[in-house]
Amino acid sequence: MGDHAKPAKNHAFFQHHFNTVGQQAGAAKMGMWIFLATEVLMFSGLFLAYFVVRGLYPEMVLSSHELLDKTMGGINTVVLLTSSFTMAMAVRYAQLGDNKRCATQLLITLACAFIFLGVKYVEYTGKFSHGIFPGGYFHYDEAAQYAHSHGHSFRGLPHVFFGLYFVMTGLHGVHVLAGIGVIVWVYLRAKRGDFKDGYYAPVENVGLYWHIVDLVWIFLFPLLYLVK
Amino acid sequence: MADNNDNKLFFGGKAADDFVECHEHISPVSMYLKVLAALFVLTGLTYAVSYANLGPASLPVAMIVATMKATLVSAFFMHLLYDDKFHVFIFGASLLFVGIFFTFTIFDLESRDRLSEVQATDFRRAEGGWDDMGRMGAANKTEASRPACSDGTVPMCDQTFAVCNGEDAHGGEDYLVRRIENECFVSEMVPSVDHDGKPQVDKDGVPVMVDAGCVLPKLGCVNPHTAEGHKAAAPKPAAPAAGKADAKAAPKADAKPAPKPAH
Repeated sequence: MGDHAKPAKNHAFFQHHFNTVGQQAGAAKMGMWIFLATEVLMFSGLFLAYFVVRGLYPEMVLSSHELLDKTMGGINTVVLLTSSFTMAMAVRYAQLGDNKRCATQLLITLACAFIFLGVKYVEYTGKFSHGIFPGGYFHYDEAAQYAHSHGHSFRGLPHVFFGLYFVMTGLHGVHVLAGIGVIVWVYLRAKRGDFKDGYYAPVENVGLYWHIVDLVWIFLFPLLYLVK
Repeated sequence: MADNNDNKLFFGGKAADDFVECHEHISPVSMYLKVLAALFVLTGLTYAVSYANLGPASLPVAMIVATMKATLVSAFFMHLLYDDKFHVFIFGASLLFVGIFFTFTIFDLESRDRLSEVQATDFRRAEGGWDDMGRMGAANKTEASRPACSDGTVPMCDQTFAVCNGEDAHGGEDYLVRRIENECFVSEMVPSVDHDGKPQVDKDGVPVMVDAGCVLPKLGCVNPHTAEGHKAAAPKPAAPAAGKADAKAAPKADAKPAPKPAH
């Protein structure tokens, strides 16, 4: 292995309605990028909601965000960045036709995804146990008491901030779950040895999806956890 | 098909030169490692900066660092740097429309406040915090707080109009506050008064009417069919001079309701 596998004229997954394997891969990738554009637009609505709420009620946002654990968010950032790296490596090995190493990198990526969700589980249950629920289930008194015990006090309507927090991280979490699904799919295909002779489009497109999930988190982390 | 034509796309019998093809680029492992290291450094930077008190600069700084990280990921991990420029175009187009979306919405929000000011209408947000919110929600949502009603009447917002005096008075007319409370919203035209409580008239001697809805979160028994006790004629504003003084002293929400005319 290690040699740059020259794309074969026709690999095993070449579909007859394409002229060349390059065209087939290009079509798949363009479709993926258009999908990613819709993802960007979908999340932009939530980001705008965040900026509007922040603009109208800065003190509410700043006093509420103190309850989020920066360290947990930081760990998740590092985990997700690492998984993006291993995903990029998986694509690289798929380009080289090295299914074995590709599968290993995908496995590490999967492990990172599960760690990410595990940390999120700890964060969510930690919030739930102190009455910080999404929307109308928010228990103000319990949450305020919890905030006081940590030396903070709410200003304004904290349930609005936590509503945004749960929806934004929740939608992102759903994307992580979907990512786990498609990574398992390409992992099984790598185990089967599908990716060779220049055929690696599924790994590459799953990789693109996984990177956009990472990109969203790159903005979510400072906005929700860090910014003062 | 001849061998040398195998990799060509044909349109109308002629070979097309540039159809979309995927040109692969295999980056060295060292480059991926460098990008990962840079991403970690930038993450550490935002984390550290969040503890430094940068004040209003913290949001732009955090956004700049996040954008740098996003650029690294998209350029190297997502191969946009080496990729077909059409993919850059698709991604760029989505960002362009996000920009339009943000700009117009923020612009609308900003100018809306100015419009309200011109109208001398203060659309006040529940700035009183949770207590304000609780008071607004409790009356309708808590069963215990509902009055026991009989004779076909149901607990409803007892809508009482009042001129609520805000902190500012603009142009000699009362600064009117429109509130949404208790899920009741009322907009009613009332005569405008000046600082001394005298009705304002325009140059033709016609009384100036202003849009004033001030809904007080008070529940009463109301007959839903006749709306008796519910929809009274627009009352005269309460003595504005006194009302103004009260409003300044007391919390805004407690501005005095106008006395309801007898039915």
